Amino acid sequence: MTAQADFFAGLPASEVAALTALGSRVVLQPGAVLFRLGDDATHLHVVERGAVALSMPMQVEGRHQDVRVDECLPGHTLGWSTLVPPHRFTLKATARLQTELLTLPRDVLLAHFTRVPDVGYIVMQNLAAVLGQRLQVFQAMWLREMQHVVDLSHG
Amino acid sequence: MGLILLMLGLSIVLTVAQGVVLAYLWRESQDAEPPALAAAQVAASPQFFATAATAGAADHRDARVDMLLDQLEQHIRLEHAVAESFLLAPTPATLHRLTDSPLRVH
Repeated sequence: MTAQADFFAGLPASEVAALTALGSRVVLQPGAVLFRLGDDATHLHVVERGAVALSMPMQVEGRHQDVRVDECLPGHTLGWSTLVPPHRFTLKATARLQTELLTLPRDVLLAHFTRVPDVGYIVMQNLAAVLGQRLQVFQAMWLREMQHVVDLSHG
Repeated sequence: MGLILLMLGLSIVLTVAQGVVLAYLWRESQDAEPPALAAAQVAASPQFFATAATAGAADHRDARVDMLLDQLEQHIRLEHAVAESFLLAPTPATLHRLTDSPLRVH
């Protein structure tokens, strides 16, 4: 599963193995919180098994509620803020099932990219693709909500 | 003479009876412990006019919030799907495609 992860897209198997060796495997039980909104982003996580819900807070009937806005399944990478300043998580991540992750620390990753810049180039391309797609999706969702606001207020 | 005797007898009887009553009352007032009253078993009165709001307001509110959260998450999934399909073929029509989200009023 690791080789098919979006983080490793375009990398030869040997480089995938080298990157994988930099990380460690973590198992989360259902309901376990991987990181919270505002936490320092120091590790990238690749989902190998299970599912992680990404949520943001909303006020519902005067109470704070976590609303799921996305989900990461096997092959997906979460914690991209680890590689994007200001390196703070903007979502809360919670395991929905028993979940196994490959966890990669930022400083170790960046040191590896410095040693093997070709790998760093491909990984950053993958990062740009994921973030760009996410930006476009949420831009469209935001515009749709603005259209709804206009329709409600002006008929 | 007989009448006098009768009246004397009656007065004696009444005096003795009064004494007995007074003695009883005095003894009752001197009891160390007041008589224990058994806890009243109050039967639950039928709640002809009770509603869920009065009987389980907190549970009702939690169920309402849970339902709203489910609807919110369904809405987000639908919006996310429309936005992703817009990226595949960006046009005004695909951008503003309608969904059957429970939170949308059409």
